[in-house]
Amino acid sequence: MYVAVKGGERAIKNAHALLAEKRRGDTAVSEVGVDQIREQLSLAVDRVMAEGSLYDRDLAALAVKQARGDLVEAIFLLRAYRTTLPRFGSSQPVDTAQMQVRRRISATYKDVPGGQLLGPTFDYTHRLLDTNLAMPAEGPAETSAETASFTGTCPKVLSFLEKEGLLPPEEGGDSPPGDLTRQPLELPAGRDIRLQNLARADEGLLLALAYSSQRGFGATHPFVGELRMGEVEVFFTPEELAFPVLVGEVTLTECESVNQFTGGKDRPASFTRGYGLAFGENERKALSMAIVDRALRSGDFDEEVRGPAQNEEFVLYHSDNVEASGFVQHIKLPHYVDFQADLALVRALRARTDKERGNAASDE
Amino acid sequence: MNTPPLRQIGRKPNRTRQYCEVIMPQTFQQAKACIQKPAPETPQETRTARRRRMEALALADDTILEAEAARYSGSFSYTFLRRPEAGLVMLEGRAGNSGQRFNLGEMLVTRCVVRLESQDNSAVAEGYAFIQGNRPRHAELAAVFDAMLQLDNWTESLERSLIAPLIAAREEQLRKRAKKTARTKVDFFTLVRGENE
Repeated sequence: MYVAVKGGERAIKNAHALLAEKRRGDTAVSEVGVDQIREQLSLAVDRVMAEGSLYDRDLAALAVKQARGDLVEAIFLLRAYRTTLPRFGSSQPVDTAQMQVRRRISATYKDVPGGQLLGPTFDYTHRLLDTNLAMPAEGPAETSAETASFTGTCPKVLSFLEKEGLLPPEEGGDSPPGDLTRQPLELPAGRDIRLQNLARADEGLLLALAYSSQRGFGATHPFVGELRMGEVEVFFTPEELAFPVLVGEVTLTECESVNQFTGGKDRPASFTRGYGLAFGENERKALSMAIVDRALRSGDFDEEVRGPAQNEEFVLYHSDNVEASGFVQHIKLPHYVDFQADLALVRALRARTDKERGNAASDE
Repeated sequence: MNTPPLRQIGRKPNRTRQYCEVIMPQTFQQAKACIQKPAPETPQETRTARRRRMEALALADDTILEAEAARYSGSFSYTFLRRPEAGLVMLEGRAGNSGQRFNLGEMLVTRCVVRLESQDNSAVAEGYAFIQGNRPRHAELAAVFDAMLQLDNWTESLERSLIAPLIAAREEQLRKRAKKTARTKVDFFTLVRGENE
């Protein structure tokens, strides 16, 4: 049991003033602007938007600044802020086939229609620290080379396997999805709830689970059928208007994995699939999500649950870093009364043992 | 640039404020009641044209909207049916982009609804805007233009001076983006072992 404490206002106020001073750092160094964070630390901003479950680059950048770069703290700030806003409604499901892609690769087909587009990637860099970045630069060098014609959209890679019948199309009707922000998590969860949970799940946890699954604790070592990142337009039908309006465009990263096959006497062999979708440029997250989504579908394919990544209760109840860090961190707050209770109990137990020993000694 | 605040155009500031307060809806129900639903017989092409214009306005650079609004100062007045307000729209996705719908996360949106009258009170229209992010001024201007574009007085001239250039700018933006991406196109080749033996 947690018993509330009172007092300490002045110390708390001073601690917060000290926090503000630490946030600012050396005043001889110019202060970082929210716009600089938004533009130049964009992957930190993307992670905060994805796990904060609120797409707004300005708010996420502000949260990163306020949290002194602690992304889990920034995610918490964004989650708290969203509870103060009214919800106007739900968008139409975004159509990633219409994505204006800025990166799109497939590990399953070399000559994929639409081509392999590397986009702004860390892949194939040498991971050597670039000391030039420590100096102010004049701006990025122009990329050269004439370009092949490219309209901005690409066909979905997995559609080729679907057409051949080697991959069953995704099932599931048009029913409105459940919403974790409105209803508590109940098990067994539907795929809608699982995907929402994973989309806002801690990237570190998903990465570890995906890795564990690949290494044998869950036996999914998939192919990346397609990984794409780019801008998707968002349409929303306000209740006052009878038609959908374009609200804007969001950057999304999507991963579709192709996994080992199922089939049997009455069903021809076919591949299975996992799905990952995340706000922003969030490749590691989208990949991990696809692997964990597939691992959690063990029930659909009569697979034995052997690893943590396949255990729905384990994954879904421990994936949220706001809940997790809240529960883990609450133990540092004053627990004086609970501890006094335990202390009294341990002392009483010892006193009893000592007394019994004393009695035994005097009997001899 | 020294443009007067738009809501004061065409009316004395005090009068506008008073007028606003009288008709400002207090509750959501009142707001709904005073917002005219589009007539069911609205022809499809009219609706499609409006959607296209609203799209252009939503994606526009708001400095362009500000400059264009200044050109029409004095020719209309408007009041808010809904003042610019930030809220959330839940984004949905689909498993595999075609299967079960799921909630991906929310996005920040500013909405605004205005009732616009021409200066001679001969024409009235309601304008709507839903704009990404916390952008009250952008939402206000987009709602004003949505209303103006529904009135015959301005449809043609605004289509020419505002909407067409906005659509062209958007297309150019997409072209540039695609061009940069196209430069990163690769052709991987597979090394076949023992192919020269």
